[in-house]
Amino acid sequence: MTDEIILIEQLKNVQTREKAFRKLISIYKERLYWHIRKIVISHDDADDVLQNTFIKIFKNIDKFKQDSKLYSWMYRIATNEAITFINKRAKERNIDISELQQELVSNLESDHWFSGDEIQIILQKAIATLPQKQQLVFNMKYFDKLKYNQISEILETSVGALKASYFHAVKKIEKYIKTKVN
Amino acid sequence: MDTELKNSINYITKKIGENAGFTTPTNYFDDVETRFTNKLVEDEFPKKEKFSVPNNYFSSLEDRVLEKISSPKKEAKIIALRSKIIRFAPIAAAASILLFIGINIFTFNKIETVNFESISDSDIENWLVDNTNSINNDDLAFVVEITDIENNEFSTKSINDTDLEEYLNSIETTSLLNE
Repeated sequence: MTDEIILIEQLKNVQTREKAFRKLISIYKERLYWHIRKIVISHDDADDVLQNTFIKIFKNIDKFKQDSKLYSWMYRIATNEAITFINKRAKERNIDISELQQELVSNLESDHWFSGDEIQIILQKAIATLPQKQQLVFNMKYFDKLKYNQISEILETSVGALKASYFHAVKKIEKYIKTKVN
Repeated sequence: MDTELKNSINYITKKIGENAGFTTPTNYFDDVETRFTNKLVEDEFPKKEKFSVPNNYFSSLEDRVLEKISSPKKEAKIIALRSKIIRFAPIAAAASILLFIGINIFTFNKIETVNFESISDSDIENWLVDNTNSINNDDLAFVVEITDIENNEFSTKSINDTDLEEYLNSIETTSLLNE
């Protein structure tokens, strides 16, 4: 039995659930945090979404079917939670989601938890111009170094479609940077 | 396509690197588990709102508010200022004196019979200096005898209009407005 299968069994057993869950959080907290952070941009929001993600995982662990990897399943929940979060924010403000994202990255200059310089802000602005799916694929491939088959499992999209998304994303970002830098 | 993609990625990496620039507070990741457990406990708190409102409270709210806005105001009762002053001037003067006496008794913690004879002129003078604001014209009118007015220069001298106007312009009108 692999470690993951043992952990899942412990998570489904009421006796061992809490201890196993602490272990699960320890293993995945940083990866999930950075994934969420790149979607919601601010640290405080990322913290909220991360906690909601773990709560959802905890409450739905019994529904988890082992036909996909635990890691992919959790990543999918985190992605949905983060997107739901920014959609909700945009709705509250009565603005378009891309408008909200542009606003979020514009605030990065004054964000205490952002240490990047001007070029990194340009990259974030470029990412914010992309359609949602392309943003996700770019972040997961470029920064998180995930493989296409992993991304495919998380986003439930074919590898071919992901490759095309990534290609378009990269070209658009390159073009955006060139117009801003040169 | 692959070479083109590779070149583009190389360009982005060269310009930006692979660090997104985001940071977290120090030790943020150390207590994620504890904070999560707390949140889980908090999440179990009853969510249902225990307060309730009468039936149709919200649906009729607009009508009730608008009704209040549009109903005519009650006519204000007008009380003549002069009659009010005449009625309250003696009370105000007496209250000021009693307050003065009371404060002195309290301050010195002595119980003694106080009347105007037992208060020295300098005490009265000091009190008047310290309490200029609490004495208004009505108080003065109450204590000044009619003969005092007749004996002053107003009865013998005439004031021309220019002087009178100048005087009126120079006085502080706020206290008059407050009355």
